[in-house]
Amino acid sequence: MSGSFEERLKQKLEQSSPEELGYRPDREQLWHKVVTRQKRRSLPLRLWLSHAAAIAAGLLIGGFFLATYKDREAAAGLKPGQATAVVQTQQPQAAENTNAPDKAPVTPSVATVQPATRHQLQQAHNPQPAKGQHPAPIAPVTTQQQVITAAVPAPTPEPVVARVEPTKTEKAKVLHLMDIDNENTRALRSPRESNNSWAWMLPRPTGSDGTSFSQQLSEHLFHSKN
Amino acid sequence: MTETALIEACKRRESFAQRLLYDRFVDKMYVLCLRYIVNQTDAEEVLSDAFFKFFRNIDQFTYIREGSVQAWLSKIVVNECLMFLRKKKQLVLTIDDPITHAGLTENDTVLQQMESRDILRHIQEMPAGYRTVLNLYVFEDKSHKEIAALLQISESTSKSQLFKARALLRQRIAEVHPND
Repeated sequence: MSGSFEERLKQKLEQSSPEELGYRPDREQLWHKVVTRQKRRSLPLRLWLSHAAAIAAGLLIGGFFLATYKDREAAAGLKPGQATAVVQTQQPQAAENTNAPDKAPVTPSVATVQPATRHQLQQAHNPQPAKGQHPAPIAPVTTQQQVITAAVPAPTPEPVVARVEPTKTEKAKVLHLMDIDNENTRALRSPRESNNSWAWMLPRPTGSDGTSFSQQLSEHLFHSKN
Repeated sequence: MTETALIEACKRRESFAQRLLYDRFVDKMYVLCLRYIVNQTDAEEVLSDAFFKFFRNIDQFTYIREGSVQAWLSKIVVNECLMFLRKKKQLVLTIDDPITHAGLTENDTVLQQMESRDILRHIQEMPAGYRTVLNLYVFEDKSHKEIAALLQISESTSKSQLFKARALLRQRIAEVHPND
């Protein structure tokens, strides 16, 4: 196969117009296709912009409503996000440290304090010293000592040595509803009916004297046999 | 208006320059498409896609000399045609087609006397594989290595496809013009 064949083939076809080859292309329509595609290409950008604008508008509206909600909360007297302060107040350690047998055990209590009252409480606990007067050195004062100082004037001013006793954690007294019910029924019954041999079946919590349920059960059985 | 000025105007997205460039090359590119794609509607679709890509990526084009615009545009059109053929699964390379060498003429005067539309019709009647390799080798001046890379075939396959395409074309011409 000679190269001249290919050369002639190339010349013949490349120099021919579509009309010579028997085709009548609609050039205007073709051009419009190209232009339409070019215009269509800019559509995704517009679409993207419209989506971005919609998201921004949503954020603005959300922000506006959040701001108005905060204002309404502030007008109602509550600061947004403010919760009631829960302060665990403990009895003075001195009261706990007194190992007086006649003293009832002190249970820790929980009190809710509003911010205003909290400030007042702080002021009451830490009174500001008068001007020009130095605050006295703080020394732990026990209740027992207070009682003594109230009864008898101190003979000699002895330095009070602060001693930190190991803190004894008292168990919080738990009162169950079942106990309340039992108390009520027991009060309503006559003394004869107090012999309730079935009462051991009821689950009872640990007694106030520290005895466990099993101990109470065994005691109850022992008493009923006797 | 010179090609350089046209390209610069096209880079500025000026529609009149785009239209001028389109008018200048549309016929040549149309014929190019018809060599690869037989169906006229498909050829027009591919051509519009090619012009769209040409104008979209014209910022990447660097003008070197006269004719470089046509070369770049031709490359885009050929790529579009190949993509179309692959998408339509028309680019099937037939390997075991027996070609009868009987009646093959070495006389190129037959080709000279033939009309362009007949030559194009003969090319279009060939199998897509033959046609594509012949087009790439003869009209786009691609080497067998480049053809192999473009069509993801081996060089030997490209050579054999070209040989068979030439033989088939000559055979068809000889059948139509037996006395020449």
